[in-house]
Amino acid sequence: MTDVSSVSANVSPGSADASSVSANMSSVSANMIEVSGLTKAFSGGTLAVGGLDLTFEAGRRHAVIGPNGAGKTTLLNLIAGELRPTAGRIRYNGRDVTRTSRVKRSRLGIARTFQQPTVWSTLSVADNIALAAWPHSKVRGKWRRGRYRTLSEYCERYLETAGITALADRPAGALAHGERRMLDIGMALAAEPRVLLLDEPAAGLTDQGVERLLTAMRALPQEVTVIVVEHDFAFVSAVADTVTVLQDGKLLATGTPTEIAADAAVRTAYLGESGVVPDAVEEVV
Amino acid sequence: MRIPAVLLSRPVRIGVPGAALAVFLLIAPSSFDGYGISLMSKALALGVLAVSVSILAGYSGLPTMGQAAPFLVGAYTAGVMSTHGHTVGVLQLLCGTLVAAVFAAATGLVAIRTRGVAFLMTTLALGELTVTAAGEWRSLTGGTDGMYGITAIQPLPGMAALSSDRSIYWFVLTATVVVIAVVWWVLRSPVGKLLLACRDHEARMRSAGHPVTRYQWLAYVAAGALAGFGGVLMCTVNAYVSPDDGSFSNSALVLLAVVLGGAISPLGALLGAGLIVATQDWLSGPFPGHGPLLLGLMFIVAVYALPDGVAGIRFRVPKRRGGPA
Repeated sequence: MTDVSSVSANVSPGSADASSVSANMSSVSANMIEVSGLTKAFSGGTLAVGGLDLTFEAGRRHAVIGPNGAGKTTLLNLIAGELRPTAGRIRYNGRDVTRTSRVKRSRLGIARTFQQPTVWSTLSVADNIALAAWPHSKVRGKWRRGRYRTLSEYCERYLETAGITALADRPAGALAHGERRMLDIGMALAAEPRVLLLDEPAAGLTDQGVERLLTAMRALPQEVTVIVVEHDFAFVSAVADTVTVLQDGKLLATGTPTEIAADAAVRTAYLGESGVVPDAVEEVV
Repeated sequence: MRIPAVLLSRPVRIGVPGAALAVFLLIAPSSFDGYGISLMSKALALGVLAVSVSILAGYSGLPTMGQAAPFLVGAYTAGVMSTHGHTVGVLQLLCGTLVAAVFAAATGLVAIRTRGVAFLMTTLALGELTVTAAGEWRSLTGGTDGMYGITAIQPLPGMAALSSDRSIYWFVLTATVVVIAVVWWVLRSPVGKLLLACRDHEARMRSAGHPVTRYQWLAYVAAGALAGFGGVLMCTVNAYVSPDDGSFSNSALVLLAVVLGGAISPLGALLGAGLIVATQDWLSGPFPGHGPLLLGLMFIVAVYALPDGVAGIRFRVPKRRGGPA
């Protein structure tokens, strides 16, 4: 409980300033990501996301929770451009990106991690980070050895943030699951994104790994907008200042972690899923 | 049984087979007759083609069946130049490479849109179309009869024409060494890392903001240019070009060479091409008519016994998991 309040106390000054920031910098809108009527139906007839209207304010830490199959990962895939919506629009920083490819969206500043951490397994950990930073770095002629070395040296900070400096020369395919997850996160950070999408970043991490992840997330520049999909409510309440609950592809509730933890509808949704998760909700309350 | 670490180090892993190959290539001509020497030249030309396949199949994850098409384009470019009196070898190499690159740039727009088996079939179709076109376009290519009257080349302007199999061999060897060195240098640079990353996880590359399709198209064009270079060499060696040089069996044999040699090793691709020429042409002496059978057996043995290719024998690094090994 004390943890939650201290985190939100840290975050709230920044988020309260969000409107004044947007007034100063015309290119930044208060709503970093805005989806309207967003629908995704898969070919089998499954409606993963059904007419979602959501806004993710700039510079805040958002969490998306919900039972399995609620459409959380689909929502991330739609925002990242991995999937095309069946209907609806996605706006990023005031610009309609519904038809924009994922390569372009990544270059515009949307980075993501994956539920199954994906890395380039034959390359070293350091190369993975450098290649993830490549499209976003201002260094010119990176295909040249010297320039690439410059880029790699710059990227050492992300190895450090992710706590994988010691593994720098290891082939990424030889990493243990938790290490691979930290690498995946390091790769997303190396893109220096304006919007960071994290798909269950804490899953499979040791307590130490979760601690490191929390540190890394708190160290993010304030203006970065984070959307994290997560099952673990304790983790969510430690990092998020806004929680969005999805159920069956629809919005169930949205509010601060404390509000959500007290929400009866959310409890019912989780209870319908399994008896384990409500305990986590309980703990926070 | 653990392999001593020194045997696994990079200098040993690349250096020992590389040195053995170099010694063989330098010494062998003095102990072979003309036929043997021209077979070696042919193996080198096919080796360049095999390296171009390994760039696509090994580095870029694009298993191609149609690399014989740009090879053929390069060979015909050299043939046409020769019959029109342009016999400077270096110039033929440049033009053949360039024309093949343009050819690959155009066909690549079609091929690169597909993946996996579809890519295999598309490249196969492009290769067969090229062979058919070469057979039909009689005024330029001499049709299915092939192109005769290709005169001997001079390596550089002002030099004497290459009259013996031996002098042709040295020319082909020099050209091969130069071009393989360039390929090696490029693949060892960050460019190689980009290609490997696309092969490892293409979707992740796109999510990270890399224009994967552009990279792969460029790789396809570069591989086509390299195949064209090999085609020019083949024309130099045989002094004859026919649509058969671009046949399906040639493309398949070269893919086999790459599988034999280990997909991401240029050196392995060269060795694989050598093995194939040796099996097809040398061993058919003691075992007449059994060339294809021997090749088939070799392929089965290779796939089962050496999944990493000839270049991977006993040099395979054991997988490390968790903490430092």
